[in-house]
Amino acid sequence: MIEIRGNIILAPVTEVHPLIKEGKSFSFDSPVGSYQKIIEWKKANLYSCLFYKVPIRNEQLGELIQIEGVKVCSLRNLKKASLKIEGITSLKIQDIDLIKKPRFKLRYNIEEKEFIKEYTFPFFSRENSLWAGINIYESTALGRDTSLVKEQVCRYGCKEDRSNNCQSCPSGHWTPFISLKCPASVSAICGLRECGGREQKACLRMTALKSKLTCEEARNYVYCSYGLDVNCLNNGDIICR
Amino acid sequence: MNIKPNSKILLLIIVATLLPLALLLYPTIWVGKEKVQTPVSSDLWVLAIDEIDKAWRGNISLSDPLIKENCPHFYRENDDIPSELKSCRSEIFKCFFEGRKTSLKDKKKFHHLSINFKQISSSLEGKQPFVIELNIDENPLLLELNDNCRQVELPQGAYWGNHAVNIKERLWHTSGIRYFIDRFLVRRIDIREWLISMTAKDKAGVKKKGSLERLKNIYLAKTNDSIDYYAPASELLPNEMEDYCSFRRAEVLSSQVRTAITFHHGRETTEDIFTRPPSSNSAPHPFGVRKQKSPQFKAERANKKADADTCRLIFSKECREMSYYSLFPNSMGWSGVSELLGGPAEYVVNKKYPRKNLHPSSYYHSLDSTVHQAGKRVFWSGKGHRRIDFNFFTLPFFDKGVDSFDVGFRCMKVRLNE
Repeated sequence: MIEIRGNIILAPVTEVHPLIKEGKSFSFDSPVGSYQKIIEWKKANLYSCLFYKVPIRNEQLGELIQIEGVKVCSLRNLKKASLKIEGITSLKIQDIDLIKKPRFKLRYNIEEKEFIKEYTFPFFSRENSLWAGINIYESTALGRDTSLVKEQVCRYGCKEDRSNNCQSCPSGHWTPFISLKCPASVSAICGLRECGGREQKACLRMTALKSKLTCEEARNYVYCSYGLDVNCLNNGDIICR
Repeated sequence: MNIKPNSKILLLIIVATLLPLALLLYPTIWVGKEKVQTPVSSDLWVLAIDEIDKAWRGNISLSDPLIKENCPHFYRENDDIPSELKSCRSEIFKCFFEGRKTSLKDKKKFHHLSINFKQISSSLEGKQPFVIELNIDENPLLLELNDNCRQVELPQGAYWGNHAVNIKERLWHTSGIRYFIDRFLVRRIDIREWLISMTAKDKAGVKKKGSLERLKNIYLAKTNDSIDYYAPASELLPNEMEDYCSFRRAEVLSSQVRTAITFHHGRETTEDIFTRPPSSNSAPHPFGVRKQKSPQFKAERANKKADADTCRLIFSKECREMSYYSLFPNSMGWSGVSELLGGPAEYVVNKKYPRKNLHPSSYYHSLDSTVHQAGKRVFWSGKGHRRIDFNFFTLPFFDKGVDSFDVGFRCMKVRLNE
């Protein structure tokens, strides 16, 4: 007897097992005894996920474990499982569709019975989403910090950490520039088109494929407003005068 | 009435039996049924969100009686507006769904669907998120509808940019910076939305950003003549254009990016844009690699005048009698951006050469004019729309006999890759 139950995950899905991403039906056979994360989703900064414990033949049966509303969805939170299905002898993932209507089916056996659970997750990824313009609303996403001011650096191209908070610039406006010391990466300051003018940073035309530039070479990668010329400072800044 | 003693006892017994029963039933009869939440199947959710998505993508008829009732200023007896121009518009979406009774059929059963609109106030400046509550059989779901229908991303790579004597200096590369360009010129309905939002902020006591009275008089004044909300907004001055784009956390399109999308990228495939430089022989139009693909060239070759085919590519002077919407989206280039040649002239920001801030190709020029090419720039003072406010240098000026010239614009969002 087959029991079919459907689940729809009405939340943005953050992770899907790599084998599912390949799109072909498969069975979870190995590694035996391991916990495989099938799918993970996020709701208001908390994560939920579905794990499958692969059975060890003749020794241990498999389990489906669902964990909900935790800060990090890992095996550490197994005790907080909201759903546990034990006694699984085999599990197959089939009928995978990641484009038109993201979903897959879990087909598993407990003793003589066979079960099918369908998971639909329409909010899979922004690019491939069925509905590119629609998101589950999350109030925590609001209240952007606008603590940066004009001309403040919001991305340090020369540093290892390439993260940026240019979204926190007033009106989200920022201006890119490069330094002679690291012309291959983009740095940025807050402000709309804060470049090219007298004593301002030179405007970026493109980054260089080099680790350093001379002031003369810099002319190929930056530009100044009409009438001004490229000048370089000792600290690597390229400005217009 | 004379009741016999036996009947009195009988009456008493009946009341005694019915009273506890009445007390039992009291909560259900008098308080009213509590709303019961019935679980919704995944197929039903998908069906419902599909309907919302369709409407959000512009599948709304402006001749719908509910639009006439809710928002008479948007009502159009014959809706000839292309869906792209109706897409991602919260005001029209609201006008369409407010008070609409929708039911979805799933497995022979009808389910009641309703949409409520949530007022979200955030510390975010500018355009607020548009949040709706979708309700199916009393099951609520909050969805945010994003305004991303009418933007397209410029592929990463090298392009032609600003005019420079040295051809090497014309080259520029996106360098990991992402450009999301408006597919169409900014419309009057966009400006209307901005002005209404600004008016609401004024009332809330938020600091005013200059006077928008001039624009409010044009776009919000109630007049007998219905204005065409879907026409490009051509009455703004540069600082107003910049303010509008800032409202959307964007900026006015730069001359450099405008040149990149108006020239054909000149490479065999879109993948080559990242690895190969643009051809120095790029066609000065966005329709094809070869210069011969130009509508001017074709029209000249075939010895014909402007017709719907050429107007669909260059909306020149000859096209003004035709319906703009029937040829929509016109002048679409390889990038997916439209309205690139012809139409109103377009203001762009040029950091390198500030006096080259207007893309002159417009519906004030005939099809055969040399102005209908990529890379041409003239000067607009930005002080008004009179003849005296423009300087075309050596290029042919706007047509004689016209005193006021439309100038349109569009925005672009610039983002950094992580």
